[in-house]
Amino acid sequence: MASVLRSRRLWVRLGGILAASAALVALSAPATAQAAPDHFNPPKIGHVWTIILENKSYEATFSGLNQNDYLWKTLPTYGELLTQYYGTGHYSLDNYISAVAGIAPNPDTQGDCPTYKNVSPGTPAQDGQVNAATGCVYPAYVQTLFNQLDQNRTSWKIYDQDMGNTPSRENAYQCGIPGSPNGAGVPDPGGATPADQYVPKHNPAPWFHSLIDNPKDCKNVVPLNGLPATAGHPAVSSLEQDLKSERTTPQFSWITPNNCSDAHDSTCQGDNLSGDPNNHQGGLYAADVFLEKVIPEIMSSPAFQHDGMIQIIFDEAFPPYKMYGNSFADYTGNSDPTLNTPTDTAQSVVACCNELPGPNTSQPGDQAFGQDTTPGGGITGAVFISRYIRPGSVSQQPYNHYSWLRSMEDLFGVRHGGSDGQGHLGYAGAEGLRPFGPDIYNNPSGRALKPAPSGVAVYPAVDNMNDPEHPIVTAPAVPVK
Amino acid sequence: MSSSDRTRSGRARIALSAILAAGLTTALAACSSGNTATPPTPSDASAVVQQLGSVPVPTPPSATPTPVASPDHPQLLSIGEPVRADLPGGVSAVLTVSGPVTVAPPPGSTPPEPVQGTLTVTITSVSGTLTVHASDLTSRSEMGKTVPLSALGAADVTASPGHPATIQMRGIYTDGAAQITWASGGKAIAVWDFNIETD
Repeated sequence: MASVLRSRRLWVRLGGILAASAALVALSAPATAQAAPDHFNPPKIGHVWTIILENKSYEATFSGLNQNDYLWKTLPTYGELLTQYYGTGHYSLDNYISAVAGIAPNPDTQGDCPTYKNVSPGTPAQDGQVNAATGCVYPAYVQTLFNQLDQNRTSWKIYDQDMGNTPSRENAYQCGIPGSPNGAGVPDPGGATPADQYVPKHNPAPWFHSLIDNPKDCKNVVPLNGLPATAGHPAVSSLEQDLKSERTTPQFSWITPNNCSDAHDSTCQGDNLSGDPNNHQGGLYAADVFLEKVIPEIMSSPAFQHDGMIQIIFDEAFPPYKMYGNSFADYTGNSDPTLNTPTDTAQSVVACCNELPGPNTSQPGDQAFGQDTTPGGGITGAVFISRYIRPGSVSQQPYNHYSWLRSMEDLFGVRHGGSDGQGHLGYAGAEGLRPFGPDIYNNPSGRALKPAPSGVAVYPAVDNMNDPEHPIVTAPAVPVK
Repeated sequence: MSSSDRTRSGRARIALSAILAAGLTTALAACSSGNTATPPTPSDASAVVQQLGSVPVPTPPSATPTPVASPDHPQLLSIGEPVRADLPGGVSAVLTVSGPVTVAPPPGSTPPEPVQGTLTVTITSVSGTLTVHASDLTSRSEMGKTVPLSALGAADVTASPGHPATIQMRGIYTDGAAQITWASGGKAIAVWDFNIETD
């Protein structure tokens, strides 16, 4: 990125010339914000829902061994499967922070914040990073995507399932914080309980003073099912209520299911929404139960049918994340020693997109699981659905949480500030980082299409965002009418 | 003007020409992009649906039948999934494994932590009597390591029609994924695959 900054200084010297050129462009450009000349312009998606699940590798989720047919089989036939979507670190929390602020992992965020306290020293570092030897809560100068959306007058909400169920555990009226991060902070900021399966580490808001110190922002961080009115607090609407009209639907919605519905807990502390109070089976089974409820709710809404996009992503990949499905390929007890070769040490398996480690750790992946996860968080895969996405398509292009952030900034027209001066925070502004391109927005007309088997249009990875796509198409798209 | 000044001046003129050319190209592209064949998208949902169609909404998949396993045809399953085992002697039973129920790591610890996981095997006899021994159940992690299991309570349980039985097994897991295998008569009948959270 330093080279970008150097080249920007050179360009500033030609400011007068650029101004003349810009004026010429302004005369002819439409009134809407325009991207850089060589930049792909995404379609006019006006509403986004990002649903983040937990701790599953691509192989675990999309191999069919987890009773998650809805996510594995059904949803990709209505949208696009991203086979190379990557986490950026281990364990959970650092991924959420990377996604919404472009900030690389630090030792405490890698450890899911053993004590909820401010980062120290908290001074600015190169490329929009922060020096943070300890702590998990970033100072007020650290901006997030949500602050950018505020500045851009784009409405947003974070929906956290179960947040506020037990008010003594977290403050549902202050971004879901588990207490004050000042001073000694709050030890062990939380796991799930039977009555309250919200965990702060899966909510992207409590980690930034730029959000938690701003009551207006915290009004946008709400329980998924809303809250009744109480003394001093008006009722808070639920996702279901907000979806009833476009007027009440935020343009950007981040949805954090609870520790059961997000597939984190293998056995849930509480109910898994299946309707059987004794059934606490978790993992991807519970995530499927959640998605079966929420996805049709969103897709039936006016906002989605108008110009919506659903993204189902995961924070990080837990084993198995070899490229051999749920194999046990690292088994070392084979009598033939040639079969005992480790299979999962290639960095390309666990990180992508030239991910940088940042100033606080040399190993974002924390060498988790005894595997070479030095640079990243593993392949999780993702599923996107929109009228601007062809059902049954597959993108093999590598993306990670920094790419996601850059893509959302671009989609919502954030063009200023950030680490690159073009609206991209932290490592989302890394030189050459590819945002979602025509491999993702592959149905630009928006004409509604019938579901199709996953793989009818495969987009192999390309080197550069300006390289032409050459999808392998085995069947034509079929409009619904 | 020195030769170096002339060179700088020449470079500046080239840069200016290039930038103006790029600006013109961009301006023309901007003009032409407004004239694409795609009709303008309406501004509200109902008009969009009328013009472009309604995006189909997926429904949950229908339930799949219970798979059948036998000594000659073992089944690989996900945790929580039932399997019907047809065994020699006319014994038939439905088994499932649920869990693992985990004990949270101590407060303040950082992942990954060795996690105690308890798995519950439920046996419902369809015909005949089936005894499951704790030694019939084995587990190994996705790294290929055997995870020793110990029974909580009775080490042998017997199910007969109308009298289901359960046996609980406990192990300490250090990897995030593992499997539990049930064997009968020394032959693997079913393998359940599961994740276990170590963070």
